[in-house]
Amino acid sequence: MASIGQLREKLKLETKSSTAFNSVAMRIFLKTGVNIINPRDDADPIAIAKIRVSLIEMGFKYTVTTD
Amino acid sequence: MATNFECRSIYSKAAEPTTCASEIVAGLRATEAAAVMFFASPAQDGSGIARALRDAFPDAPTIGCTTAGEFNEREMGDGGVSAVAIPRGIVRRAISAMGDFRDGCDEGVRQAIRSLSAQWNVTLRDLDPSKYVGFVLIEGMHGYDERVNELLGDEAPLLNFVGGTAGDDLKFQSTAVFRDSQSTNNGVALMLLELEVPFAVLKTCSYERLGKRLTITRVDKVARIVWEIDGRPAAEVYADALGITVDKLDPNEFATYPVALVMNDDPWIRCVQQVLDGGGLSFACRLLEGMEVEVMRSTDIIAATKIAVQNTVARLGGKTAGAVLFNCAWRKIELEKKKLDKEYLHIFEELPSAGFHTYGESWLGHMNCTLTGVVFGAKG
Repeated sequence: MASIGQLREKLKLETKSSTAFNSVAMRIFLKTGVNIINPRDDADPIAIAKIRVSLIEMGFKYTVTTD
Repeated sequence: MATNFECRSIYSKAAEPTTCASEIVAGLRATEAAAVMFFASPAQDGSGIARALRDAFPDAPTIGCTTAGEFNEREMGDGGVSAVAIPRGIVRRAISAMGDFRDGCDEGVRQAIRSLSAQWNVTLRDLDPSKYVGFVLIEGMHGYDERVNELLGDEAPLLNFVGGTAGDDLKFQSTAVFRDSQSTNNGVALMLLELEVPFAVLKTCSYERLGKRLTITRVDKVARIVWEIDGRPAAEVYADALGITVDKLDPNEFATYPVALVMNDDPWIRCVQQVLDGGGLSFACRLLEGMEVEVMRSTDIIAATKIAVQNTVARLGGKTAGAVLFNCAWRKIELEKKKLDKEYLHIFEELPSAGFHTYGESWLGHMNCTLTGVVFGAKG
C-alpha cells in the first residue's frame, strides 16, 4: 500500500496546480484530521485508509488506483 | 440603468416589512445586478424580502438566510436586513439552487448540485476554480454544516464554496434559507457565479497557538460531543490545559480559549459550547477520534482582521469591487462586549459589502469564530 508521501505526490500530479492540491489537502484534513502535507506518521495504515476514502469520495481515481 | 463595476450594498432597519423590502430594493436598484444576496433578521419577513428582490431583479438569482445580526460596510446591527447586489460588470452569469433535506442532507445537497449542473449543462468539478466561485447558506438548526461542505467537496473538490450558517438572533429555535421565492427551515441555498474579475477568499480569526496539543479519543460524532481527550474526561483535560479546574469553565473561557485543527500554521477553530454531565464537552463544530487539536488564545480581533483584509486586497492588486462576508456570531458578541463594532466596520469602509453574523462559517469545511468571505477584484 502507498505511503502518505506517495499518495501526496500522486495527488500533486493529478491536481496539476499547487492551489488545487492545497485545496484538496485542506478538505482531507478538515474531514479526517489527517495532514497529508506533513503527516505525523507517513506509514500509519489508519491515516492512509482515511486519505484513500476521502480521495475516492472526491473522485481522484488516478491517485488511489495506481498503488 | 447602467452596468457598473462595483457591488452595491444596503442595510435597512425598518421594522415594517413592506417598508424594509422597499428600502432594500431602492438601495440596490441603481445597479444592474447579476446576482443578489440578502441577510434578514428572524424578526423580518425573509420570504417577503426574497419576493421583493425577485420582482425587482427578475434576471438576477437571489439567495438569502436568517441571521444573528447583519451588516454592510457602513452599519451593523440586529433586527434589520442587509443585502448586496453583484453587478453584471463583474459577473458574466449566475445561477442558484436550493436543496431540501427532508429526504436527507446528502440527497438535498446532491439535488441542489444537480440543479446547478443542469442549468449550465456542466459538471461542477470541471469548472475552472479561478473563474467560478460558489456561495453556500446552510440552515442552522440541524447540524448538517460539515456534511454539506463535505458533499460540495466531493462533487467539486477544486471549486470554492464560501458561506455561512443561518442564525436566529441566538435563540437557537428556527433558522431559514431562501432562494428566489423558495424558503426552507431544513436545507441549503447555493449560488454559483462565473466571474469577469479575479477574486480572493478571505478567512481570518484572531487567535494564537499556546503550544498545547490534545488528541481527541472518544466522541459522539453526530451530537458534536467530545467525551474523552488523551484518554481522560474531555472537560478535565481541557481545564488542565487552561490551568484551571472544571468548575471554572464558562462561556468566557470557551470564547477566549477555543481549540483548533492546525495545518500549515493556519488554525481552523472549533468552539466549546458547554461542559456536559459525564465530563464531556459539546462543540459547535464536529471533532473526530484521532484528530489532534491545539489550544488557542484570543488576540486582537481588530488588528488580525485589518491585516487579513489588507492582505486579501493586496492579492487582488489593491483594487476591489466589493465583497460578501460571513462573520461568526461569537465575533459579534466579542465586538459588542469590547465596544469595537465601529472600529471593526471601519476596516470594511472601502469595500462595498454585505454580510451576516453566522452560526458557523463555510469554506472547504465548517468552522467557528471566523470571518470568511469572497472579495471581488476590480475590472481592468
